[in-house]
Amino acid sequence: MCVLCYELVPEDHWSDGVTDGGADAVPGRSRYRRTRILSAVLAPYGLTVSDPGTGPHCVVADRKGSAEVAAGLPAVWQAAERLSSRRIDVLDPVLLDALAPGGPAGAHA
Amino acid sequence: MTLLRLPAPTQTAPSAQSRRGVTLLSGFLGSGKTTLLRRELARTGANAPAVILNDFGHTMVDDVLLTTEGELPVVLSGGCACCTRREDLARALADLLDSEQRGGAPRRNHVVIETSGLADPGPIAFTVAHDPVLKHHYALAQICVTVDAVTGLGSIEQHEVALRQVLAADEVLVTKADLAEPDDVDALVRRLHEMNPSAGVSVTANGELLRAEEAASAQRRPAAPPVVNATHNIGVSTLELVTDEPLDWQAFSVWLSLLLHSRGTDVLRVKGVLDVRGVGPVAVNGVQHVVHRPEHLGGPVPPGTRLVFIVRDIDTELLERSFHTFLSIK
Repeated sequence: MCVLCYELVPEDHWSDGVTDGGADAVPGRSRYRRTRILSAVLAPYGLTVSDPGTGPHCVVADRKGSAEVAAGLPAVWQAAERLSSRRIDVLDPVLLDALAPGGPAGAHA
Repeated sequence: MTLLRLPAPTQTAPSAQSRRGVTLLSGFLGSGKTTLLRRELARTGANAPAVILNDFGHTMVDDVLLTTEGELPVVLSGGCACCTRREDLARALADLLDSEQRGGAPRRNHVVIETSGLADPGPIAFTVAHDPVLKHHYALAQICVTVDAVTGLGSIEQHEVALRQVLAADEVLVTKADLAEPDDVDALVRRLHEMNPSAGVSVTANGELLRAEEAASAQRRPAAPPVVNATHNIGVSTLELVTDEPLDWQAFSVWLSLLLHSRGTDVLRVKGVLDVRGVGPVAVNGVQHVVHRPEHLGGPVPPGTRLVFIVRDIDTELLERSFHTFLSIK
């Protein structure tokens, strides 16, 4: 827990172990890129992903206004499955078609 | 460096702040784990690691064999450290820290956990990597798995846990090579390379190294097929993902985390070197749903990404398509 804001800090996740961009990295670029990819992946499920810009969190929301704050990638997938009531499967051919270049989610991203 | 890559007697000790390395020594029943470890402990001299010994039975004999300088190993008997004795394993590792920090024992920079012959290394690796206290003091160094040159192949084909041990390995140690025909040993080594392309294979006899071969995926064989179904076990297959272009870390990490979320129990092993755009070579290593923190590689590494997956009941063509689709997200 953060001693300043009492926010629960999630455990280290392996995906945070690489800071891409090296010395030329633009601050926040990695977060922006991750949010953009998550948005593309979850768009076919009717979900949006936004980054409030503080802490390690992002917000997953559906089109009816329900939203969940998720800290870290595992929490994003859990929140997405709760909000969409669907299983998010990385091997789902429908998802892959949507993400393919020229597909609806690929274009959305 | 020894067979288990334990610190040599003359090696300088790491700083007091660094985490202690943990080597898991696994292997099916009777595959020669204790014999190998006895030889290894004799080689390490003053740098002898702490030893935690796990046995399925209640009666131990190996603890006496593994005594170093009068110090008995920590014993967990009557169950496997991957399931019924998992909490005991965490407590044993914590007790080692306690005994150091209260001044009673010298700091050990390495710990060897010899698992029972029926243990699955995956959950043990999870305990070391994710326990809220232990993860700050210990880091999994590698998983070494012994395979009996005479009976090993039969065990792998008949017992799923023996297969899981081989698939989880960073290094496979073929033991008792002196008791088998050289051609049979060569055939076994080839099969092990096919089963787990991400593991090196060493051939030993009585705890002595006869020869060592690096992992098949590191040999960069140009004619290697991208997909190999190398085991007789139904549904287990191997996929090697290769890209020449540097990849986007964010796209890759989103893809792998979703793969582990949706199909984690069927991903038995993932290991390889990624060529990350703007960063350079990064080593990724995971056993089942446990992925270790990626490691930036400083030394010279061939360009491109080579990632080996060993999966169960997953369509590898679909997996490959999924990988490339996610990486193409703009």
